[in-house]
Amino acid sequence: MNAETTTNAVHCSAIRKSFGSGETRTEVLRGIDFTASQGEMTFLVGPSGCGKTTLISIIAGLLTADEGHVSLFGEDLSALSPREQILFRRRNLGFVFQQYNLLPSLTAAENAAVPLLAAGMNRKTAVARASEMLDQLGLGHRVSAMPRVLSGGQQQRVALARALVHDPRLIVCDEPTAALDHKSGESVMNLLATSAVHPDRAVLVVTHDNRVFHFAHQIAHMDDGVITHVDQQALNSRLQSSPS
Amino acid sequence: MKIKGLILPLVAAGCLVYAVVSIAQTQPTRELTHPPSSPPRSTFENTVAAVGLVEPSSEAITIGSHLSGIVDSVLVKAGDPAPKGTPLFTLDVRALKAQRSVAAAQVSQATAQVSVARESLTQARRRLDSANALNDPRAIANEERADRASEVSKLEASLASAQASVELAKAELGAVETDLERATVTSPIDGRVLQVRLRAGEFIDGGADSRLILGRTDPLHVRADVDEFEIPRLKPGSRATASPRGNAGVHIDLEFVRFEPLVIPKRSLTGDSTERVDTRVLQAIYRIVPADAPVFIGQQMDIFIEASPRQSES
Amino acid sequence: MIPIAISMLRHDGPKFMALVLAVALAAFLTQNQASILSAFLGMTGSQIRDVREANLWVMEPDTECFDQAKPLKQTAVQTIRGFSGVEWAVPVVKVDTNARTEAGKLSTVTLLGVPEDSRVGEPRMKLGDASAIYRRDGAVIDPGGFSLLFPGQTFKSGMKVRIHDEWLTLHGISDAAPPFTGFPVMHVSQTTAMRLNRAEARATTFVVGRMLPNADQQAITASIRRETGWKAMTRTEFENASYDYYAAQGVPNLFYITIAIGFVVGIAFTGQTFLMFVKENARAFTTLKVLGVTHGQLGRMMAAQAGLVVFMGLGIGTALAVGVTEAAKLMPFLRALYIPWEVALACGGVIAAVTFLAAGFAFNKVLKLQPADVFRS
Repeated sequence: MNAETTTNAVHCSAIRKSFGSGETRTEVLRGIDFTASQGEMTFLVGPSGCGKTTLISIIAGLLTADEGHVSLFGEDLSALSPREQILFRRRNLGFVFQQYNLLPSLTAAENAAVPLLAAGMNRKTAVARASEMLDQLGLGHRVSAMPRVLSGGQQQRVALARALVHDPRLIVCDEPTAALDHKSGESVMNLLATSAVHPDRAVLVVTHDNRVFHFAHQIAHMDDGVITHVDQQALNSRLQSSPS
Repeated sequence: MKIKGLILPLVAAGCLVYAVVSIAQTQPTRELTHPPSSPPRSTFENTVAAVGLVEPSSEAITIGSHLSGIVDSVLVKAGDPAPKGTPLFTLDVRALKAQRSVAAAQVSQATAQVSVARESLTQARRRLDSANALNDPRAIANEERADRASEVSKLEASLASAQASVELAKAELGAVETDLERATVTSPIDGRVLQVRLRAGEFIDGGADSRLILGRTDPLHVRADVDEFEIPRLKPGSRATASPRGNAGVHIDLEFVRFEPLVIPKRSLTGDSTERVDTRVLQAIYRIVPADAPVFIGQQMDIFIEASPRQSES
Repeated sequence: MIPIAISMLRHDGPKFMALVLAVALAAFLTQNQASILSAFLGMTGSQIRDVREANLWVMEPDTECFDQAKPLKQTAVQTIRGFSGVEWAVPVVKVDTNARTEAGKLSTVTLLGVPEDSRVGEPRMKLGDASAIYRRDGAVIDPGGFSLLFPGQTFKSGMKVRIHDEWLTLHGISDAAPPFTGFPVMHVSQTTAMRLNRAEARATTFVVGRMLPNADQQAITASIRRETGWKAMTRTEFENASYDYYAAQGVPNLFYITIAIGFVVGIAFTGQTFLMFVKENARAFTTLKVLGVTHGQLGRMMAAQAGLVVFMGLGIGTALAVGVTEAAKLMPFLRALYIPWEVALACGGVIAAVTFLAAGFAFNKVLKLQPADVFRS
């Protein structure tokens, strides 16, 4: 990838955020400038409490920054009404969580179909599309399974399907491998690298699991509310050689 | 724990259907029905309603007897026409007949006494005449002549007395014969026998007795009791109809006869309850127009009289 | 999203059951109590409704309800017949007296004298023929009264009841609605009733009549009141007056308490359970919010959940109330029990409203969930 083909999907400048007030006030983000590009997988790494989660919350529009400016694909989120923010999120964002956050009452396919259903798609079509996506992720045989009978890796793959099913332009992953053993984590990251990375899409992964750092195109290191440095990596050759 | 399938919602739906159907079916009906047999209804726009009794136009005449005694024979039965003078019943007259014989004998006896007195008087007169013919005072004493004259006077009085006795005996005979006539009771009017509860052999007391009732039944009258509060709405001569109790479909035309002049306490017509009289009524008499009206004397009628509208309704 | 909401609720079996049962219990309690109250007080109009032919009731001004009536003077029926718009009028003879069976059982009874000419108020029969009351000393009795006077016995025509010094012969069981007083109701001919009337100097208890179909009923009753000084009411008005007379004695308060408890149980239990449901499903709700489910969609989801609970709870609760009512009706004294559709609808409506209100409180909690908390594990 070179500078011409990569576009800024996420652009943050001078983000500041603090919680609490008075004596208990803590400044979590202290002037973040950050960029993530389409077609790339960007890792956000750093020790616990460094502000990674707060930063992705702000990027995803779940929190509002005290100062600074966030734009997603050129759109200034803070200029949108709360309802427009929700609709923007529904259309353009996919999420993968550490604890998978599947709805226990829904089957794998139904879980994966939630973004489509929320957008008002007819249930049958949505579930069919979700099943297709699960099939692509190697879970075609478990579309009707309930989450509690699935292994952690399988659940995270269902979550991945849910993040991808509506073809979003930005995928936000919060510690996607933290709850998984090494093998499952590796397999999930592989799927993420092969299925999620797309020229029109940016993937943002928050992790402190250094076993999976090699999947990143770019790694932003955070500490104590600031980004300390950014590593650029070339891993195309490695991606192609890794087992799926 | 997950509730499998649709069993529970279906059970709930079934319950709801059962509840709705059951509630719908158990709602009480409040429709008005029609009476099994029609109650009396007025035929007039404005009505005074009353109840009344059918009675003979002469009103009911309870036949009394002058004499007390045992009834010998009843000559009529209920329903018989009884023109004026028709014998109705007779009393046992044997005692009267015996009295008549006694009285007749007394007449004969008195008549005979008159003959005796007359003979004695004739004889006395003759003796007086012969004494008067002897003008010689020596032939007959003056005293003797005076005695004979006195004898004649005495016997004249005796004759008068005997003749009076005859009159008395005849009068007594006449009285017995009147009683004999009166022992046969006759109809006082042209009427009809309405009730005979008198049998041969029964004792009848002189004076009031209601065992034989007579009345004029052509035409019949109805005596209607009108509550005194309704009097202002009544007009003499207004039209009226009557329905016999239990036959409300029949409306019999009535013709006004008169009002009774007295407002009287209401007499209970509806049964032998211990009803307290707290209502006064005006009695209006109406004639039943159709001769063949299906009514009987004493029958209760529901009467509707055409009336003036109420002040508030007009 | 509605099926998702339903599956979320059904997945949480215990809470789902608790919600349904809470609503069912509230529906059962309120409908049962309200219908008992309504049927119970409705019995105050039993004898009024049983005169099915009449829509006009005339009585002395002192009369407040059917059971407590001062008789009218004898000519009252004629007076009423004289009013324009009154198609017909007949007397009702009611005699309150004591009856004794051959076995010595004693009870206060209400004798109703049916006029022989019009037969207005002649009872419908469960057993036997109503025309038997026109026989001398013939009578029929209501089922509740029969079981009171002849406990445990089956009816045989010819059973006898003594009133004063006379033996009345029972020829049948009537379908007379149970009276509020609970005393036996016997129908006899008006002649018999008047003969057995020892307590009152007057025989005519009420005058009932029919107003012409197109007549202005209010104008007629007003005119009777004005002209005669008596009370004149339509059948419904008299029923309501009898109802109010007894309702004013305070009986309903007991029922109101139970009904209130039903509603309170409904709102407290369902509200609490909905809150717990939201609390336990907070992660799912937060995730849905993060995934772009709007507040409107979430609201519809909660409403669907509440709707399902209401549908099932009301279905089960109402069926339970109906079932209990049907079972209770087998007892002679409770024959008049029924659930008025107004009661069913009102209770159902209030419970539905309460449940939706409870769901609304819970929804408020959903609205307050912070999407950013989704990253907290």
